[in-house]
Amino acid sequence: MKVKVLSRSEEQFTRERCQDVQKVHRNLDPALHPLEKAKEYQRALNAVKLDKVFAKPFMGALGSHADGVSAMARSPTRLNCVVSASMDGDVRLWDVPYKRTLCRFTGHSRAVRGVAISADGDTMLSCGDDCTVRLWQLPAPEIKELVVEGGEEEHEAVATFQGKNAFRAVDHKWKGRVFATAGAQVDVWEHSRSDPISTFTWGADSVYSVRFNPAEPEVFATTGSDRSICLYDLRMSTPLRKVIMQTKTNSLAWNPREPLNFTAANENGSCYSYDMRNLSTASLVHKDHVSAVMDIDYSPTGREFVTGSYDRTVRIFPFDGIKSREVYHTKRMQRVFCVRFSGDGSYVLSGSDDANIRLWKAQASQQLGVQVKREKRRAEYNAALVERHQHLPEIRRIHKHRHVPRPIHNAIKLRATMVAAEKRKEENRQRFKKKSKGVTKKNEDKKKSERRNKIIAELE
Amino acid sequence: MAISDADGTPSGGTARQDASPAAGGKSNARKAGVAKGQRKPPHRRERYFGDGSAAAEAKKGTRGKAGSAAQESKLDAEGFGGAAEGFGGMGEGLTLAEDLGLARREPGGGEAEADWSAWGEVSPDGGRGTKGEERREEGEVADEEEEDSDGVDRETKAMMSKYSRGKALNTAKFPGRLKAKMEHREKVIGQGVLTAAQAEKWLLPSEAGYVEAEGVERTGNFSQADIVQHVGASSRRAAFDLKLTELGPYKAAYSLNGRSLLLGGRKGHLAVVDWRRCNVTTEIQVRETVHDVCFLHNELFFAVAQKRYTFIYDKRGIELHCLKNITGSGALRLQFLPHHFLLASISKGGVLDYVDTSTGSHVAHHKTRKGRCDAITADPRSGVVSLGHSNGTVTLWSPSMGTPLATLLAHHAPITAIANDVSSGNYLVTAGMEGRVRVWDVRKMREVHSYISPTPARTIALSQCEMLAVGFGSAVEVWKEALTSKQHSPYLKLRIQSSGANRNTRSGGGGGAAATFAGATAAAAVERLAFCPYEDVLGAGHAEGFTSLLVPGAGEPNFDSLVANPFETGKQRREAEIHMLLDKLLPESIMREPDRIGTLLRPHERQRNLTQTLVSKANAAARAKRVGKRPGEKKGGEKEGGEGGGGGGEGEWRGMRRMRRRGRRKGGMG
Repeated sequence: MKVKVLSRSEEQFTRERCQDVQKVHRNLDPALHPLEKAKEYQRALNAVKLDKVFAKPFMGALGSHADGVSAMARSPTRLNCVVSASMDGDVRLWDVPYKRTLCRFTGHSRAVRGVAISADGDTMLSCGDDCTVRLWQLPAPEIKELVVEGGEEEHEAVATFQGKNAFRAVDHKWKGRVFATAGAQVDVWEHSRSDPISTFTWGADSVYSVRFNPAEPEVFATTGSDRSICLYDLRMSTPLRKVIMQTKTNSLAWNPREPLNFTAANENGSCYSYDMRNLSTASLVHKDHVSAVMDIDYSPTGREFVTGSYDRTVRIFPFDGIKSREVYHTKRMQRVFCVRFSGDGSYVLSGSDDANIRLWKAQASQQLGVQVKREKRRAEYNAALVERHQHLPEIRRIHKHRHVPRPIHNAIKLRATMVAAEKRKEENRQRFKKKSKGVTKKNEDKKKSERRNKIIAELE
Repeated sequence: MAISDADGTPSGGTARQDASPAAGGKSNARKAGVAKGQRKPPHRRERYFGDGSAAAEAKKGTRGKAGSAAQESKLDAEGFGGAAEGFGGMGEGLTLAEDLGLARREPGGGEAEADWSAWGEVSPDGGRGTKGEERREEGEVADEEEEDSDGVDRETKAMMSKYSRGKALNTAKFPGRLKAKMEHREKVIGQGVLTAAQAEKWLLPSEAGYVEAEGVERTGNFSQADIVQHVGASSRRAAFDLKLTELGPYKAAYSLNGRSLLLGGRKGHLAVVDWRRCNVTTEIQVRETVHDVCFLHNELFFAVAQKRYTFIYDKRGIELHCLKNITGSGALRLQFLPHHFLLASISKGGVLDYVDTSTGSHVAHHKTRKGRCDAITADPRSGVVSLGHSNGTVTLWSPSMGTPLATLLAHHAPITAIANDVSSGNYLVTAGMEGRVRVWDVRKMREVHSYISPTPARTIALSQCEMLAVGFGSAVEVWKEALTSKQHSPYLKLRIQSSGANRNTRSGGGGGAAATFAGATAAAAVERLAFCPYEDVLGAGHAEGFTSLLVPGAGEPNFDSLVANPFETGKQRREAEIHMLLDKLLPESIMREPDRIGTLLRPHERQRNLTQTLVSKANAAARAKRVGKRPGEKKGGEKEGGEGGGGGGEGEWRGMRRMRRRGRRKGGMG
């Protein structure tokens, strides 16, 4: 007879001293872990609810401007450094973490419409309704030391470039000392020259925005009052091509990780992503705003972009998603004129008509500050759970739900009704259309896809 | 002993079966393999090296043979460890053809060598490191046999099936981007399974207990005293007898981690005992009839079904709650569902109540309409509660449905006891007044085996390793592997001794009673059997107290500290409690197929579900009408024997299915 009985000595399974780590024994046998699917679902439900509980995206407001904020630019070299311009001609450099103005750039006599920081982060450009572009030196030393308690330094322009018409936008090349301005025409300037080195015009009465391509330094795009998006190459004397849309484009942004693609913020409340090689069709339509989208900026990761709209909300879209993943609004925030991602992609800044710049978290429920490894792992686990169960009705409902103010809620409903009516009308039109003899399948006017139907013409 | 065993063993084919998950009822390759290896180590050794050298001869001539022979002697001198035996067991199952094929593919066996080096470094107990080194040298002989083309040895592959939950998806059918996504997911899952299987070698150091007969002996003839005699001093302490003659018969229950024992004497005596340390945590006298006792989520709280109401006490014996307005008066049996924090109770009038013990809310109140019922069990895999009724039927319940999820005619006599399989959750065991114990497959609702108890069983219990204990009169029969296959003789036959003669009196016990070792001849009727989780211990409450019996091989040898920790500290217990509460499942999630939670219904399934609800409503109405006649049960009664037992239930099932089909057709047309 041979017998063996389970026998565990307490010494073997418990720690010796109280300073020791507790012993943990695992047995991954599924029999010991029943109901794992149900538990995982429950955890996912908890995770998605906690996400909502901790969604406190508003970080603070930078509120020293006296008039609506019209433009913003972030430094490519410093995380905490943002320049903003307002309608009263005020240009400020901000220390974002301390929410204070570091210095003011005085000189513009009328509204400033555009600001840009050069690629090396040392100089800044601003342009406005007073028909000047001004070049400023950004303070070089460590910003914190520069602040005198209680006072803001005032800086004078290093150089002033005089134009004939008001300027609407300025952008600096990602390499070198060349910048472009938009106004009655598109001018390309060099830091050391008082006159533009080249000028482009193609149809538009006025050009609203200009953005250089981050990867191909000579290429840039503008949007104009003739409802166009126009591409240029500095190495050529004429613009490359343009596309005319049904409504005007207010702004555009290049995807820094896929520099062939850019997204245009349209007056009709949608954003259109394009591949610059093929402007005949948008590659994606991002719809969620209920009023004109005023500004757009890509995250440095290129995975998402932020938009500010006339409907007083800021939305964050995934670059490949048609719906926004986040919507930010406050009671006091008015029409948003400019938005920027922070250099590390974890914050969003919005400048609005109420003379405030607001700082938001890019991930609404993200925990700030130093996280211990355990917390990080927990956050990752929760995110994975939500991602895995996001298609289940209950979780999807909580995950997708965003509270929006009543006017926007109503506008969304109204829009849905209008779109449905339009769709129904189009379907009816197709159904009862007279089949004439000469019309073949090829030339009959088929219903255009949404990606095409707002595009009127592509010009070369 | 070694040689004779080795001679008498069957061919390699059976050895492979031993290691394959299909053969083991628990689909537990490791257990089957190691347990067998444990019992017959010499045979393993013999066969393994025999085969190994044969294979080596085929490939490499004499060198392999010499090497293996040398190895054998080395290992012989050292003695075999469990892991090494497992390895040997796998080696046996190989055919020569496979050998040659693999040899052609991997003549050097570099990968295998690396594997063996890892074996040597990360050994579960320090002593095996050197053995690993030796194995590496010897790896040249064995490696080609052990590894498949993907570098995963077969032992691990066999283990993987235990961790893979279902078959892998066929990703070919998915279009475009989704395909890549699903392929990636499958890969991640596959890696997880592989890691779990590989980790098993190191994470699970303990092996299950066993009793082994030698020569003409039969395990069934071993008495408890024999077993106690043969085990070590620490194990002997687990076999004790509490002599509590005055306030019995006693109900017994163990806490989830097996550390505490709860005793409830019929005449109001309640005691919580830390049985390992022979320490009475609390002891009270409630001066009321006690029908049933059960622990809640940890050993700090327990529920007691008393004469009129169910009470909840804490570890100091302080009455925390009286579930006066919640449970029906006069609960006979209690069942706690730890994952849902639900306390299910069945009352004299046959009313099933669910109380949420975390919030105190009354979750459900189901009238079974089948009269008095004192057989209840819960499926740990799903939380479905099964009731055994006096008309021989078993009904399955969830809190969200007022009618049974399923009804099964299990016996042609009142059901006396019922128990759910703890580990796989696939089996249900019922005992009837007619003296039969039937094993049911709850997936098919069909009987798989039936056993006979000489007198009607009073109580049955199932252990984590699927031991079946049946208590009738003063006898306890323990059956091993009785669920997966038909057994012809019990593994152990034990007897509860009456407290006539005391051999060894110990301190402990309560109510003026003394604890003694069993050692008398008179008998006491068994009232309640309960296996202690993670221990080879069977607790038997009986008319004269409580007896703790050693049943080698009953308990899961390796516990998971994060699931139930027998050695947990107060801090760990508090943390575990919070985690349990965070993961608490809603009562609505109790269903017969809990794995369907978190999956999507396809549109046609949604339609079918809707139809099913309508059909089940209609069914319920029809059943309510039929109650007097019970035609379904009569139909089952016509058949006899093994198959016939399930007849009634089956008939009802088929009927349901037919109706559902009809409903579906209707739904499709709509």
